[in-house]
Amino acid sequence: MSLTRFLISLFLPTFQLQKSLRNLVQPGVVKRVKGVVRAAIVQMEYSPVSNVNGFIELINRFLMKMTDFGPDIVVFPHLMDSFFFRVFPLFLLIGTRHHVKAIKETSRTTSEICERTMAEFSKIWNCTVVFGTTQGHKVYHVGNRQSHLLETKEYKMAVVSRKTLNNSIQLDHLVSSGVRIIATPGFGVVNYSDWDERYHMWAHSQMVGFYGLCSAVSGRFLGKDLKARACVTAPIPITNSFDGYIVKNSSTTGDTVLLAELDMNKIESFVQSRKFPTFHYSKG
Amino acid sequence: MRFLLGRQIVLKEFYYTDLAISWIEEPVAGASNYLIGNERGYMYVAANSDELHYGGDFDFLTTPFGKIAVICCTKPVHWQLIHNAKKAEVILTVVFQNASSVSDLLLSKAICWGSSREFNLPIALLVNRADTLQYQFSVPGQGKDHSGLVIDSTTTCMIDMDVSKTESGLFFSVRSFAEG
Repeated sequence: MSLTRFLISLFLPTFQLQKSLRNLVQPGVVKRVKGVVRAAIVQMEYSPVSNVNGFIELINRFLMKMTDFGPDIVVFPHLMDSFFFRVFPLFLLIGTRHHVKAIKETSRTTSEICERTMAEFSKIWNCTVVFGTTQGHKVYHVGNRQSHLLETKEYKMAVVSRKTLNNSIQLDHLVSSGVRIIATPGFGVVNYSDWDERYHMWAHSQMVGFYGLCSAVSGRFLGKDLKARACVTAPIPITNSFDGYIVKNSSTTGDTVLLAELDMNKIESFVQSRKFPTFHYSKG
Repeated sequence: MRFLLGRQIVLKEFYYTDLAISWIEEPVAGASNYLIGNERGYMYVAANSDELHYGGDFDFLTTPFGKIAVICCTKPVHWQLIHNAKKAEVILTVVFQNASSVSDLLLSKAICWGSSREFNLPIALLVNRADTLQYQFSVPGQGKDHSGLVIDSTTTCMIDMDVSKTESGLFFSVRSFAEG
Protein backbone atom coordinates (compact mmCIF):
# COMPACT_ATOMS: atom_id res chain seq x y z
CA MET A 1 0.00 0.00 0.00
CA SER A 2 2.75 2.43 0.98
CA LEU A 3 4.63 1.65 -2.26
CA THR A 4 1.47 2.51 -4.22
CA ARG A 5 1.05 5.79 -2.38
CA PHE A 6 4.69 6.61 -2.92
CA LEU A 7 4.39 5.96 -6.68
CA ILE A 8 1.28 8.14 -6.92
CA SER A 9 2.89 11.01 -5.03
CA LEU A 10 5.90 10.67 -7.35
CA PHE A 11 3.72 11.01 -10.44
CA LEU A 12 1.46 13.67 -8.99
CA PRO A 13 3.58 16.03 -6.85
CA THR A 14 1.74 18.74 -4.88
CA PHE A 15 4.03 21.58 -5.99
CA GLN A 16 3.17 20.78 -9.60
CA LEU A 17 -0.55 21.11 -8.81
CA GLN A 18 -0.06 24.58 -7.29
CA LYS A 19 1.70 25.66 -10.46
CA SER A 20 -0.82 24.04 -12.81
CA LEU A 21 -3.82 25.58 -11.07
CA ARG A 22 -2.61 29.00 -12.26
CA ASN A 23 -3.33 27.80 -15.81
CA LEU A 24 -7.04 27.32 -15.22
CA VAL A 25 -9.14 29.18 -17.81
CA GLN A 26 -10.50 32.49 -16.51
CA PRO A 27 -14.23 33.29 -16.74
CA GLY A 28 -15.66 35.90 -19.12
CA VAL A 29 -17.70 38.88 -17.96
CA VAL A 30 -21.38 37.95 -18.01
CA LYS A 31 -24.39 39.94 -16.81
CA ARG A 32 -26.54 38.05 -14.30
CA VAL A 33 -30.31 37.90 -14.77
CA LYS A 34 -32.46 37.88 -11.64
CA GLY A 35 -34.54 34.70 -11.23
CA VAL A 36 -32.46 32.77 -13.75
CA VAL A 37 -29.85 30.21 -12.71
CA ARG A 38 -27.34 29.20 -15.33
CA ALA A 39 -26.17 25.60 -15.31
CA ALA A 40 -23.42 23.90 -17.31
CA ILE A 41 -23.48 20.10 -17.46
CA VAL A 42 -20.45 18.18 -18.66
CA GLN A 43 -20.33 14.88 -20.53
CA MET A 44 -16.76 13.58 -20.91
CA GLU A 45 -15.36 10.91 -23.15
CA TYR A 46 -13.02 8.90 -20.95
CA SER A 47 -9.43 9.83 -21.79
CA PRO A 48 -6.91 9.12 -19.02
CA VAL A 49 -4.21 11.67 -18.22
CA SER A 50 -0.56 11.14 -17.33
CA ASN A 51 -0.01 13.99 -14.89
CA VAL A 52 -1.51 17.00 -13.14
CA ASN A 53 -0.89 19.26 -16.14
CA GLY A 54 -2.81 16.84 -18.32
CA PHE A 55 -5.73 16.93 -15.89
CA ILE A 56 -5.85 20.74 -15.84
CA GLU A 57 -5.69 20.77 -19.65
CA LEU A 58 -8.59 18.32 -19.73
CA ILE A 59 -10.69 20.50 -17.40
CA ASN A 60 -9.75 23.64 -19.37
CA ARG A 61 -11.09 22.05 -22.56
CA PHE A 62 -14.54 22.11 -20.99
CA LEU A 63 -14.18 25.45 -19.24
CA MET A 64 -13.39 27.13 -22.55
CA LYS A 65 -16.82 26.05 -23.81
CA MET A 66 -18.56 27.92 -21.00
CA THR A 67 -16.50 31.12 -20.59
CA ASP A 68 -19.12 33.35 -22.26
CA PHE A 69 -22.00 31.67 -20.45
CA GLY A 70 -21.05 32.52 -16.86
CA PRO A 71 -22.56 29.46 -15.16
CA ASP A 72 -23.81 29.59 -11.58
CA ILE A 73 -23.65 25.80 -11.32
CA VAL A 74 -21.27 23.43 -13.12
CA VAL A 75 -21.81 19.67 -12.88
CA PHE A 76 -18.87 17.44 -13.74
CA PRO A 77 -19.22 13.63 -13.82
CA HIS A 78 -18.73 11.12 -11.04
CA LEU A 79 -15.37 9.33 -10.44
CA MET A 80 -13.33 12.23 -11.80
CA ASP A 81 -10.17 10.80 -10.21
CA SER A 82 -10.49 7.74 -12.46
CA PHE A 83 -8.97 9.95 -15.18
CA PHE A 84 -5.70 9.44 -13.29
CA PHE A 85 -5.82 5.67 -13.72
CA ARG A 86 -2.99 5.93 -16.26
CA VAL A 87 -0.64 6.89 -13.41
CA PHE A 88 -2.42 4.64 -10.96
CA PRO A 89 -0.33 1.49 -10.36
CA LEU A 90 -3.34 -0.79 -10.75
CA PHE A 91 -1.01 -3.77 -11.30
CA LEU A 92 0.06 -3.49 -7.64
CA LEU A 93 -3.54 -3.59 -6.44
CA ILE A 94 -5.64 -5.75 -8.76
CA GLY A 95 -5.36 -9.38 -7.81
CA THR A 96 -4.83 -8.68 -4.15
CA ARG A 97 -7.53 -9.90 -1.76
CA HIS A 98 -9.10 -6.57 -0.96
CA HIS A 99 -8.25 -4.68 -4.14
CA VAL A 100 -11.41 -2.54 -4.17
CA LYS A 101 -10.71 -1.31 -0.65
CA ALA A 102 -7.03 -0.84 -1.55
CA ILE A 103 -7.87 1.24 -4.64
CA LYS A 104 -10.25 3.38 -2.60
CA GLU A 105 -7.66 4.02 0.10
CA THR A 106 -4.85 4.83 -2.29
CA SER A 107 -7.06 7.00 -4.44
CA ARG A 108 -7.27 9.60 -1.67
CA THR A 109 -4.38 11.42 -3.31
CA THR A 110 -6.02 11.56 -6.73
CA SER A 111 -9.36 12.51 -5.18
CA GLU A 112 -7.63 15.35 -3.33
CA ILE A 113 -6.12 16.65 -6.58
CA CYS A 114 -9.61 16.69 -8.13
CA GLU A 115 -11.02 18.47 -5.10
CA ARG A 116 -8.31 21.12 -5.05
CA THR A 117 -8.74 21.73 -8.77
CA MET A 118 -12.52 22.07 -8.49
CA ALA A 119 -12.25 24.23 -5.36
CA GLU A 120 -9.94 26.61 -7.21
CA PHE A 121 -12.19 26.59 -10.27
CA SER A 122 -15.32 27.40 -8.20
CA LYS A 123 -13.41 30.23 -6.50
CA ILE A 124 -12.11 31.81 -9.72
CA TRP A 125 -15.47 31.43 -11.49
CA ASN A 126 -17.53 32.43 -8.42
CA CYS A 127 -19.84 29.46 -8.91
CA THR A 128 -20.91 26.10 -7.52
CA VAL A 129 -19.13 23.00 -8.79
CA VAL A 130 -20.54 19.52 -8.34
CA PHE A 131 -18.56 16.37 -9.16
CA GLY A 132 -17.70 12.96 -7.82
CA THR A 133 -14.55 10.98 -7.02
CA THR A 134 -13.96 7.47 -5.69
CA GLN A 135 -14.40 9.11 -2.27
CA GLY A 136 -17.97 10.20 -3.04
CA HIS A 137 -19.89 13.19 -4.38
CA LYS A 138 -18.42 16.63 -3.70
CA VAL A 139 -19.81 20.15 -3.79
CA TYR A 140 -17.74 23.35 -3.79
CA HIS A 141 -19.22 26.83 -3.72
CA VAL A 142 -16.89 29.78 -4.35
CA GLY A 143 -13.90 27.80 -3.11
CA ASN A 144 -15.56 26.32 -0.04
CA ARG A 145 -16.60 22.73 0.57
CA GLN A 146 -20.36 22.36 1.05
CA SER A 147 -22.74 19.66 2.18
CA HIS A 148 -24.93 17.86 -0.35
CA LEU A 149 -27.66 20.39 0.39
CA LEU A 150 -26.67 23.88 -0.70
CA GLU A 151 -28.65 27.09 -0.34
CA THR A 152 -27.71 30.41 -1.92
CA LYS A 153 -29.72 33.61 -2.44
CA GLU A 154 -30.83 32.42 -5.88
CA TYR A 155 -31.48 28.70 -5.41
CA LYS A 156 -31.53 25.68 -3.15
CA MET A 157 -29.87 22.61 -4.61
CA ALA A 158 -29.36 19.00 -3.52
CA VAL A 159 -26.80 16.54 -4.81
CA VAL A 160 -28.11 12.98 -4.71
CA SER A 161 -26.98 9.55 -5.82
CA ARG A 162 -28.56 7.76 -8.77
CA LYS A 163 -30.24 5.38 -6.31
CA THR A 164 -32.03 8.24 -4.55
CA LEU A 165 -33.41 9.34 -7.93
CA ASN A 166 -35.70 6.29 -7.82
CA ASN A 167 -37.29 7.34 -4.58
CA SER A 168 -40.12 9.88 -4.96
CA ILE A 169 -40.65 10.05 -1.22
CA GLN A 170 -37.08 11.17 -0.50
CA LEU A 171 -37.12 13.55 -3.47
CA ASP A 172 -40.44 14.99 -2.33
CA HIS A 173 -38.95 15.73 1.11
CA LEU A 174 -36.21 17.71 -0.60
CA VAL A 175 -38.66 19.64 -2.80
CA SER A 176 -40.90 20.32 0.23
CA SER A 177 -37.89 21.82 2.01
CA GLY A 178 -37.37 24.29 -0.85
CA VAL A 179 -34.98 22.39 -3.14
CA ARG A 180 -35.68 23.22 -6.78
CA ILE A 181 -32.52 21.85 -8.42
CA ILE A 182 -31.28 18.27 -8.03
CA ALA A 183 -27.89 17.29 -9.43
CA THR A 184 -26.41 13.84 -9.94
CA PRO A 185 -22.83 13.42 -11.13
CA GLY A 186 -23.17 10.40 -13.39
CA PHE A 187 -20.92 7.74 -14.92
CA GLY A 188 -21.66 5.63 -18.00
CA VAL A 189 -22.96 2.08 -17.94
CA VAL A 190 -22.30 -0.93 -20.16
CA ASN A 191 -25.94 -1.94 -20.70
CA TYR A 192 -27.26 1.48 -21.61
CA SER A 193 -31.02 1.76 -22.11
CA ASP A 194 -32.87 4.96 -22.99
CA TRP A 195 -35.85 3.79 -20.94
CA ASP A 196 -33.71 3.25 -17.84
CA GLU A 197 -32.13 6.67 -18.29
CA ARG A 198 -35.57 8.27 -18.62
CA TYR A 199 -36.82 6.56 -15.51
CA HIS A 200 -34.28 8.07 -13.12
CA MET A 201 -33.96 11.83 -13.53
CA TRP A 202 -36.56 12.54 -16.23
CA ALA A 203 -39.53 10.62 -14.79
CA HIS A 204 -38.94 11.94 -11.27
CA SER A 205 -38.63 15.50 -12.54
CA GLN A 206 -42.18 15.06 -13.81
CA MET A 207 -43.50 13.27 -10.74
CA VAL A 208 -42.01 15.45 -8.01
CA GLY A 209 -41.21 18.70 -9.86
CA PHE A 210 -37.61 19.95 -10.00
CA TYR A 211 -34.82 20.81 -12.41
CA GLY A 212 -32.59 17.75 -12.82
CA LEU A 213 -28.92 18.08 -13.76
CA CYS A 214 -27.24 14.87 -14.89
CA SER A 215 -23.60 14.71 -16.02
CA ALA A 216 -21.86 11.65 -17.48
CA VAL A 217 -18.70 9.86 -18.60
CA SER A 218 -18.76 7.69 -21.69
CA GLY A 219 -16.12 5.82 -23.73
CA ARG A 220 -13.78 2.91 -23.12
CA PHE A 221 -13.05 2.44 -19.41
CA LEU A 222 -11.07 -0.52 -18.02
CA GLY A 223 -11.83 -2.54 -21.15
CA LYS A 224 -15.56 -1.82 -21.19
CA ASP A 225 -17.56 0.45 -23.48
CA LEU A 226 -19.60 2.87 -21.42
CA LYS A 227 -22.55 4.86 -22.70
CA ALA A 228 -24.41 7.71 -21.08
CA ARG A 229 -26.38 10.83 -21.92
CA ALA A 230 -26.01 14.07 -19.99
CA CYS A 231 -29.21 16.10 -19.68
CA VAL A 232 -31.11 18.85 -17.92
CA THR A 233 -34.67 17.78 -17.15
CA ALA A 234 -37.70 19.80 -16.07
CA PRO A 235 -41.44 19.22 -15.71
CA ILE A 236 -43.03 18.94 -19.19
CA PRO A 237 -45.27 22.06 -18.93
CA ILE A 238 -42.25 24.34 -18.40
CA THR A 239 -40.13 22.98 -21.23
CA ASN A 240 -40.30 24.65 -24.65
CA SER A 241 -40.84 21.48 -26.66
CA PHE A 242 -42.98 19.70 -24.02
CA ASP A 243 -40.52 16.81 -23.89
CA GLY A 244 -39.37 17.26 -20.30
CA TYR A 245 -35.85 18.30 -21.29
CA ILE A 246 -34.34 21.79 -21.17
CA VAL A 247 -31.40 20.30 -23.05
CA LYS A 248 -30.17 16.78 -23.70
CA ASN A 249 -27.05 15.38 -25.33
CA SER A 250 -28.01 13.95 -28.72
CA SER A 251 -25.25 11.33 -28.52
CA THR A 252 -24.37 8.71 -25.91
CA THR A 253 -20.65 9.29 -26.51
CA GLY A 254 -18.22 12.19 -26.93
CA ASP A 255 -17.31 15.41 -25.12
CA THR A 256 -20.16 17.87 -24.59
CA VAL A 257 -21.04 20.82 -22.42
CA LEU A 258 -24.78 21.42 -22.08
CA LEU A 259 -25.73 24.99 -21.18
CA ALA A 260 -29.13 25.69 -19.65
CA GLU A 261 -30.90 28.69 -18.18
CA LEU A 262 -33.21 27.63 -15.36
CA ASP A 263 -36.16 29.93 -14.72
CA MET A 264 -36.73 29.69 -10.97
CA ASN A 265 -40.13 31.45 -11.14
CA LYS A 266 -41.47 28.85 -13.55
CA ILE A 267 -40.41 25.90 -11.40
CA GLU A 268 -41.81 27.60 -8.30
CA SER A 269 -45.21 28.07 -9.99
CA PHE A 270 -45.18 24.46 -11.11
CA VAL A 271 -44.37 23.12 -7.63
CA GLN A 272 -47.08 25.27 -6.05
CA SER A 273 -49.65 24.05 -8.61
CA ARG A 274 -48.78 20.42 -7.85
CA LYS A 275 -49.50 20.35 -4.13
CA PHE A 276 -50.95 17.02 -3.06
CA PRO A 277 -54.77 17.17 -3.36
CA THR A 278 -57.08 16.31 -0.47
CA PHE A 279 -59.56 13.71 -1.64
CA HIS A 280 -62.54 12.38 0.21
CA TYR A 281 -63.38 8.72 -0.20
CA SER A 282 -66.78 8.13 -1.74
CA LYS A 283 -68.64 4.90 -2.13
CA GLY A 284 -71.73 4.08 -4.15
CA MET B 1 -57.75 -11.37 -16.40
CA ARG B 2 -58.64 -10.27 -19.92
CA PHE B 3 -59.66 -6.68 -20.26
CA LEU B 4 -60.52 -4.18 -22.92
CA LEU B 5 -59.18 -0.66 -22.67
CA GLY B 6 -61.08 1.84 -24.80
CA ARG B 7 -64.32 1.88 -26.75
CA GLN B 8 -66.54 -1.15 -26.37
CA ILE B 9 -66.40 -2.17 -30.00
CA VAL B 10 -67.89 -5.55 -30.89
CA LEU B 11 -64.81 -7.59 -31.65
CA LYS B 12 -65.22 -11.35 -31.34
CA GLU B 13 -62.79 -11.19 -28.39
CA PHE B 14 -65.11 -8.77 -26.61
CA TYR B 15 -67.43 -11.64 -25.64
CA TYR B 16 -64.64 -13.20 -23.55
CA THR B 17 -63.65 -9.97 -21.83
CA ASP B 18 -63.55 -10.03 -18.03
CA LEU B 19 -63.49 -6.27 -17.62
CA ALA B 20 -64.19 -3.46 -20.07
CA ILE B 21 -62.60 -0.15 -19.02
CA SER B 22 -64.02 2.75 -21.03
CA TRP B 23 -64.60 6.47 -20.97
CA ILE B 24 -68.24 6.99 -20.06
CA GLU B 25 -70.53 5.32 -22.60
CA GLU B 26 -73.51 2.99 -22.75
CA PRO B 27 -72.29 -0.54 -21.88
CA VAL B 28 -72.36 -2.95 -24.85
CA ALA B 29 -73.46 -6.46 -23.88
CA GLY B 30 -70.67 -9.01 -24.00
CA ALA B 31 -68.19 -8.34 -21.20
CA SER B 32 -68.50 -9.75 -17.69
CA ASN B 33 -67.78 -6.48 -15.89
CA TYR B 34 -67.65 -2.83 -16.84
CA LEU B 35 -65.75 0.09 -15.41
CA ILE B 36 -66.84 3.29 -17.10
CA GLY B 37 -65.95 6.79 -16.03
CA ASN B 38 -64.80 10.30 -16.75
CA GLU B 39 -63.00 13.07 -14.86
CA ARG B 40 -65.98 13.56 -12.52
CA GLY B 41 -66.74 9.98 -11.48
CA TYR B 42 -66.98 6.31 -12.38
CA MET B 43 -69.44 3.44 -12.40
CA TYR B 44 -68.72 -0.27 -11.96
CA VAL B 45 -71.27 -2.74 -13.30
CA ALA B 46 -71.16 -6.54 -13.07
CA ALA B 47 -73.19 -8.16 -15.87
CA ASN B 48 -74.44 -11.10 -13.79
CA SER B 49 -75.40 -9.08 -10.76
CA ASP B 50 -77.65 -6.20 -9.83
CA GLU B 51 -74.79 -4.59 -7.94
CA LEU B 52 -73.73 -1.16 -9.05
CA HIS B 53 -70.84 0.79 -7.59
CA TYR B 54 -70.16 4.40 -8.30
CA GLY B 55 -67.83 7.04 -6.95
CA GLY B 56 -65.36 9.76 -7.82
CA ASP B 57 -62.04 11.42 -6.92
CA PHE B 58 -60.03 8.54 -5.41
CA ASP B 59 -61.73 5.27 -4.61
CA PHE B 60 -61.17 1.54 -4.22
CA LEU B 61 -63.19 -1.20 -5.88
CA THR B 62 -63.31 -4.81 -4.84
CA THR B 63 -63.73 -6.95 -7.94
CA PRO B 64 -63.55 -10.73 -8.55
CA PHE B 65 -60.00 -10.13 -9.91
CA GLY B 66 -58.75 -8.19 -6.91
CA LYS B 67 -58.75 -4.69 -5.53
CA ILE B 68 -58.67 -1.84 -8.08
CA ALA B 69 -58.00 1.86 -7.36
CA VAL B 70 -59.93 4.40 -9.45
CA ILE B 71 -58.83 8.02 -9.76
CA CYS B 72 -60.97 10.65 -11.50
CA CYS B 73 -59.27 14.02 -12.01
CA THR B 74 -59.04 17.18 -14.07
CA LYS B 75 -55.34 17.82 -13.36
CA PRO B 76 -52.40 15.47 -13.98
CA VAL B 77 -52.60 12.67 -11.44
CA HIS B 78 -50.44 13.09 -8.34
CA TRP B 79 -47.87 10.34 -7.73
CA GLN B 80 -48.82 10.21 -4.04
CA LEU B 81 -52.30 8.95 -4.96
CA ILE B 82 -50.70 6.08 -6.84
CA HIS B 83 -48.43 5.47 -3.87
CA ASN B 84 -51.53 5.35 -1.61
CA ALA B 85 -53.11 2.86 -4.03
CA LYS B 86 -49.99 0.70 -3.78
CA LYS B 87 -50.11 0.81 0.01
CA ALA B 88 -53.72 -0.44 -0.20
CA GLU B 89 -52.39 -3.48 -2.14
CA VAL B 90 -54.38 -2.94 -5.33
CA ILE B 91 -53.61 -5.01 -8.44
CA LEU B 92 -54.48 -2.20 -10.88
CA THR B 93 -54.96 1.55 -10.82
CA VAL B 94 -57.29 3.17 -13.35
CA VAL B 95 -57.08 6.92 -13.99
CA PHE B 96 -59.83 8.87 -15.77
CA GLN B 97 -58.67 12.38 -16.64
CA ASN B 98 -59.79 15.33 -18.69
CA ALA B 99 -56.70 17.19 -19.90
CA SER B 100 -57.04 20.90 -20.57
CA SER B 101 -53.74 21.13 -22.48
CA VAL B 102 -51.26 18.99 -24.38
CA SER B 103 -48.65 19.57 -21.66
CA ASP B 104 -51.06 18.22 -19.02
CA LEU B 105 -51.71 15.16 -21.18
CA LEU B 106 -47.99 14.46 -21.59
CA LEU B 107 -47.30 15.11 -17.91
CA SER B 108 -50.01 12.62 -16.90
CA LYS B 109 -48.54 9.98 -19.17
CA ALA B 110 -45.04 10.56 -17.77
CA ILE B 111 -46.24 10.44 -14.15
CA CYS B 112 -48.25 7.24 -14.70
CA TRP B 113 -45.33 5.52 -16.43
CA GLY B 114 -42.79 6.59 -13.77
CA SER B 115 -45.12 5.71 -10.87
CA SER B 116 -45.94 2.32 -12.39
CA ARG B 117 -42.26 1.45 -12.47
CA GLU B 118 -41.39 2.88 -9.07
CA PHE B 119 -44.33 1.35 -7.20
CA ASN B 120 -44.48 -1.88 -9.23
CA LEU B 121 -48.10 -1.40 -10.18
CA PRO B 122 -50.05 -1.62 -13.48
CA ILE B 123 -51.71 1.70 -14.34
CA ALA B 124 -54.37 2.25 -17.00
CA LEU B 125 -54.74 5.89 -18.00
CA LEU B 126 -57.72 7.15 -20.00
CA VAL B 127 -57.42 10.80 -20.97
CA ASN B 128 -59.86 12.97 -22.83
CA ARG B 129 -58.01 15.74 -24.62
CA ALA B 130 -60.09 17.96 -26.93
CA ASP B 131 -62.67 15.18 -27.43
CA THR B 132 -60.01 12.67 -28.43
CA LEU B 133 -59.50 9.76 -26.08
CA GLN B 134 -55.99 8.53 -25.37
CA TYR B 135 -55.18 5.23 -23.68
CA GLN B 136 -51.96 4.35 -21.92
CA PHE B 137 -51.27 1.14 -20.07
CA SER B 138 -48.07 0.81 -18.06
CA VAL B 139 -46.90 -2.42 -16.46
CA PRO B 140 -43.43 -2.68 -14.85
CA GLY B 141 -40.93 -4.64 -16.93
CA GLN B 142 -43.41 -5.33 -19.75
CA GLY B 143 -43.81 -3.91 -23.25
CA LYS B 144 -41.25 -3.30 -25.98
CA ASP B 145 -37.63 -3.36 -24.69
CA HIS B 146 -39.05 -3.89 -21.18
CA SER B 147 -39.94 -0.22 -21.25
CA GLY B 148 -42.92 -0.71 -18.96
CA LEU B 149 -45.16 0.83 -21.61
CA VAL B 150 -47.60 -1.72 -23.03
CA ILE B 151 -49.92 0.67 -24.91
CA ASP B 152 -49.87 4.36 -25.69
CA SER B 153 -52.46 5.03 -28.36
CA THR B 154 -55.83 6.43 -29.33
CA THR B 155 -57.16 3.02 -30.36
CA THR B 156 -58.90 0.35 -28.33
CA CYS B 157 -56.84 -2.58 -27.10
CA MET B 158 -57.45 -6.00 -25.59
CA ILE B 159 -55.00 -7.12 -22.90
CA ASP B 160 -54.36 -10.36 -21.05
CA MET B 161 -52.80 -9.71 -17.67
CA ASP B 162 -51.77 -12.23 -15.02
CA VAL B 163 -50.79 -11.04 -11.58
CA SER B 164 -48.81 -13.40 -9.36
CA LYS B 165 -48.30 -12.56 -5.73
CA THR B 166 -45.21 -14.03 -4.12
CA GLU B 167 -43.26 -13.34 -0.95
CA SER B 168 -40.96 -11.02 -2.88
CA GLY B 169 -43.81 -8.97 -4.33
CA LEU B 170 -46.14 -8.78 -7.31
CA PHE B 171 -45.17 -10.14 -10.73
CA PHE B 172 -46.98 -9.32 -13.93
CA SER B 173 -47.30 -11.03 -17.24
CA VAL B 174 -49.03 -9.07 -19.97
CA ARG B 175 -50.02 -9.81 -23.55
CA SER B 176 -51.76 -7.34 -25.77
CA PHE B 177 -53.47 -9.40 -28.46
CA ALA B 178 -55.93 -7.34 -30.47
CA GLU B 179 -56.21 -3.76 -31.51
CA GLY B 180 -59.29 -2.19 -33.01
